[in-house]
Amino acid sequence: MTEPILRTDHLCKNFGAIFAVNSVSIGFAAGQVHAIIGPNGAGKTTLIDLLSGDTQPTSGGIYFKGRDVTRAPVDRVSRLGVGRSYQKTNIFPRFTCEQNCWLGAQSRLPNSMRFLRPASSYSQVRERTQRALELCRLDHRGQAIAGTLSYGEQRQLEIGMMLATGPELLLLDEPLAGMGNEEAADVIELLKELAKDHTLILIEHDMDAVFAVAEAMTVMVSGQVLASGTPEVIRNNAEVQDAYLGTGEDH
Amino acid sequence: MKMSRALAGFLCAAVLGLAVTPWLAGEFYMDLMIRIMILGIFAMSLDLLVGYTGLISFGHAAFFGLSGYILAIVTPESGPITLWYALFMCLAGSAIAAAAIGWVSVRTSGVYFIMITLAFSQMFFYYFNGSVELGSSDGIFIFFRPDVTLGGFALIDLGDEYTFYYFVLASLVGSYLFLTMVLRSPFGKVIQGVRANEARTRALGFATQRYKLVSFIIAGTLAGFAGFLEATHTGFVSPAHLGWHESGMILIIVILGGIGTLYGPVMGAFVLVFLQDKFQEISDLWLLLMGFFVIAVVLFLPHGIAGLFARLTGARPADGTEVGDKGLAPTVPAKSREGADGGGTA
Repeated sequence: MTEPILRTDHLCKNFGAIFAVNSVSIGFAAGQVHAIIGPNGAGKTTLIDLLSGDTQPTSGGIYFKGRDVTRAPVDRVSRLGVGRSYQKTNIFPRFTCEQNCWLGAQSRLPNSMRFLRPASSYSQVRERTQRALELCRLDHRGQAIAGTLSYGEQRQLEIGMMLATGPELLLLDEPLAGMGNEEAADVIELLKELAKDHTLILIEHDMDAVFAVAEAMTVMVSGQVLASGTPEVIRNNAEVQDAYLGTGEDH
Repeated sequence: MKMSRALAGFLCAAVLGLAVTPWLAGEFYMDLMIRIMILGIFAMSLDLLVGYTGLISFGHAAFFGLSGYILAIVTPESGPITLWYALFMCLAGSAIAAAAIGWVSVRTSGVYFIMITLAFSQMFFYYFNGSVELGSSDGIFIFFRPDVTLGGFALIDLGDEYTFYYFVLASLVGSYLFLTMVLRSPFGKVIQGVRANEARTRALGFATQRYKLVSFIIAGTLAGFAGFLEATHTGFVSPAHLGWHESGMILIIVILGGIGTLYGPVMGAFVLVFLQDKFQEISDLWLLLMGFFVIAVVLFLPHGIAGLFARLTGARPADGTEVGDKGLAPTVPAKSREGADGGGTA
């Protein structure tokens, strides 16, 4: 197996005596869709927070493309090419959709300490913004105030902002959370499309969606990795069925 | 920042009005207008922090007063100093002070940021208040306005009140255009993102602390420019110029005028100074009247005077906050909101 694009080494995060993430070592293969599943409180979101730099680990290491990013702050991780979407919609509600994506696109300028030219005159930022809006299927809503969008559209925008930064690796924290069936199907289509040329790390509770897109899976319970492998292996793992998928539901 | 035609027209008319004031009004009102315009620049500089970066500074007068003291220090007792040198010293001094204070302050946020900026400005206050050679609490006079010379030729004479009036008016317009340029630039987009949602702005790849620091330095330097004009105008600077009274007053002007609009705080300065003048005529308890007025504005005009203006002309304030609810209802019905609170946590 080739060197994984992102790898954790005995990663721990504790809040006082509670280990939210306890000695997690996972390798994420480049180009794959890797789903992380587990019951509520398993430490999945904390793990994503650690990977994205939103939270700093207590101990252990994180390596992105061989580079040590264990203590890298979130803005640096983003500039290295790791995009992240949040479980709880985290947008600029008073900006238009275009302005929301604009900031993501602009962050790929070598730096934004530029004071003279209007931002709107940077054509490469404009193109990038437009592409992100198209990808998340909000190009027709560019001038709408984000806070007025439907919930599903806000979730799409959340993904669009991340895509505007042009990431190689996407950390998606429950992209389908709270969506209706129709909207969820749209987002699953989008994920499949993104999977063609991105590495995806995905937390999701919707098992149908997970088994539809995932090429690799990790099951977490109480901050630890219970099992890791292909969807087939996970589906047939007795321990996993016991802990999470639920006995008797498998058919 | 999108500007409605009505607003652009209004601002042009206002500048025109200011331009003809010296011919229509007496010396008293000319003096009052100079004071208002200087406060307007000072207030706009604070609006960059409060209204666009989301940093509520309660020590902004530190740069205003410091700059005045620098002018007092560099102006010799025997004659005027050249404008270029004086201005450079005042702006550089303010910028350095803002960099030092900002470097510490931007590491905090919310109420801690308010407290730390207040603490720093009070340190400046007590330093100048206790400095005997700078006149202690009595302050210090500046006997000569700077010379505006280039290659030995006197370009304009700031000692002439009419000339000085137009110099200040040009400074006000220039400061507005400068801040508008900054806010439209990539830098401006980032600080407005910081105000709206700093965590998300960071997550998109911006080292937000650096942008906040630069914003703080720009605002501090512009406040220093206003302080330079004030000291030149009155020929006097005292510790009161950098005390927390002054910081509080300029914050009130910004809020009264309407944060995040630039022109609002200038209107705020205008209204506050005029009311102060009128209330003082009516009653010894003018501060009480002023208090009622401020409370009324905050209660009934949540977006300040600029918000009232926007409502009358149907424009949206520059920061995208809604005025009324027109046009903000969802145009696509929300299908499912049951998960809007984030659902289960992992």
